[in-house]
Amino acid sequence: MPKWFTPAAALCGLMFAVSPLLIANAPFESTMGMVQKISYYHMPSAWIFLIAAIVCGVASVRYLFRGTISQDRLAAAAAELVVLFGALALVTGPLWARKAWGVWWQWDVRLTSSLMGWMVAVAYILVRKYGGPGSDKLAAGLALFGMANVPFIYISVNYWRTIHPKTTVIPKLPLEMGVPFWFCVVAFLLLFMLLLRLRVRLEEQRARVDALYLSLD
Amino acid sequence: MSRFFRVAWLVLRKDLTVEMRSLEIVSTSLFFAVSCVLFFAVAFVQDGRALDGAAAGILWIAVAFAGTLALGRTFERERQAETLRALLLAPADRPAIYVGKLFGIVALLVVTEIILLPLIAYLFQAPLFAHPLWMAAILLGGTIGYCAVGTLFAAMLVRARSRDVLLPILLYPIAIPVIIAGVRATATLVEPEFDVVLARFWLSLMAAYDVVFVTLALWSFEPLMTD
Amino acid sequence: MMTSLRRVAPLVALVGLLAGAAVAVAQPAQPPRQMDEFVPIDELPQQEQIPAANLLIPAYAFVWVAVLVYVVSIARRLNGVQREVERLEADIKARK
Repeated sequence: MPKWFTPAAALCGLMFAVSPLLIANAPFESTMGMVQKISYYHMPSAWIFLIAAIVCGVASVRYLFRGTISQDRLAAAAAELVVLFGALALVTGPLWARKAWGVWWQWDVRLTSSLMGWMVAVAYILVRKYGGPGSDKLAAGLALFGMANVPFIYISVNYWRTIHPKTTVIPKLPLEMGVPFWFCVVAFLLLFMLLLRLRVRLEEQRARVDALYLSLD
Repeated sequence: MSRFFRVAWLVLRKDLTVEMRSLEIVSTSLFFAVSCVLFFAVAFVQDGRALDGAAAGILWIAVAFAGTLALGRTFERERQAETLRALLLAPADRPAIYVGKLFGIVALLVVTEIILLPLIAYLFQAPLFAHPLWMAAILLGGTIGYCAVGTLFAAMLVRARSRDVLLPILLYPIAIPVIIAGVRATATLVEPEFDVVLARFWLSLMAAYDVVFVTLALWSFEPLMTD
Repeated sequence: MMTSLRRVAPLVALVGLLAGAAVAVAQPAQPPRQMDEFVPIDELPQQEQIPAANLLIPAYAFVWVAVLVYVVSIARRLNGVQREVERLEADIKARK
């Protein structure tokens, strides 16, 4: 593992340990009250979910057209993190919505497109797992089409309903809310990079096992 | 360019000839679609009347399910005699093979839809024929979009182990926008007052989807189909 | 012919995406119904009030547990692979 890994992991653990204190001390939001505090974890999860999806898509396209194996490993690692952070965003979101909107789920544009994106990532993992030989290319193709799909889902759902708070709330955050928020964003970003590195390492080691088996024969 | 279309035409003609002789795919997927419609009739008809707007959804879900069946079967046929490998080894543009396959499947699905449409219109008392040209355009646009992705994935899956399970897993999340557009567009036709602006919006979205996904499929068919 | 297609394809896809976006922008978007119907929570009847802590705590708990479970699962998988690498390397050495 690279040198930065252990200190970064320690820092990340510390940040996550401190984050509840910061969040608890942040002021309440006027209309939503206490439940709005979910956003300190919800929004970073959703952003990382998006970043991981972009990493997976770009790496898949590069693997597909250039054939670089390392890009395939990166895509596989990122896909698993898409599922993880997507699950975080998709579970914390409804818990917030239950109070703020009165329902667990709405077929709103962000919710629908997030769910579809998450499902593509799950399909990606299923294909890699059960597709047999050649499934890496198949999964890469799926990621390529999944990326192209996002604007269409967005347009089609946006056309008939939207209630999700806009991201424009973020630059307008008051300082007392902004500090814990950006703190959490950094913590999640760090967590993402650490997990991605670990997951890529796992793929590399698996490739090594395969190579060793081949050299045994 | 003419060579490209000649190859596509030959592949299409081959597929249609095989199908004409056996009628296997059309008859099985049509039967499957009708069974789906019966399921929906049980679910959505209350007091002898269907829920408002149910017909649009039923039509598209039946088309999507029948399409999955047809896609799987078309390529299964190619796999049994290893003819897809032969086709790919032939000195022809791979995208041309893809286009031929795509139009073959679209043609089969259109035949299914032609029979399915009146059935749904009468069983659910939906005025699907009020604007026949719009209906035809929506069905064709949706079918092309759905099959553009479906053909590519089904072709890729020919070598995969559990291809029957994986095809819907790959295809459905990607085909969501085209199904949304199809259902919404069909729903505008069923409304008592036909909203042209809305119908045009969904149809143009569908057309944009078709263009993007056919282009992407043509672009990625070659790297995806090489071992 | 094929190389030119490959060069043009991303462009066409991009143009199509833009066209789709343009279609969406050009159409007058319907007013989002839910935004108009949004009811501030203090207007809800008393018995419908849900204590926020009952939602807040599961949300944070889920994040922590999910991340922990994932970290443990990666660690286990990595350990397993690591052990296999060592075993195989020992095997190879023994053969030589």
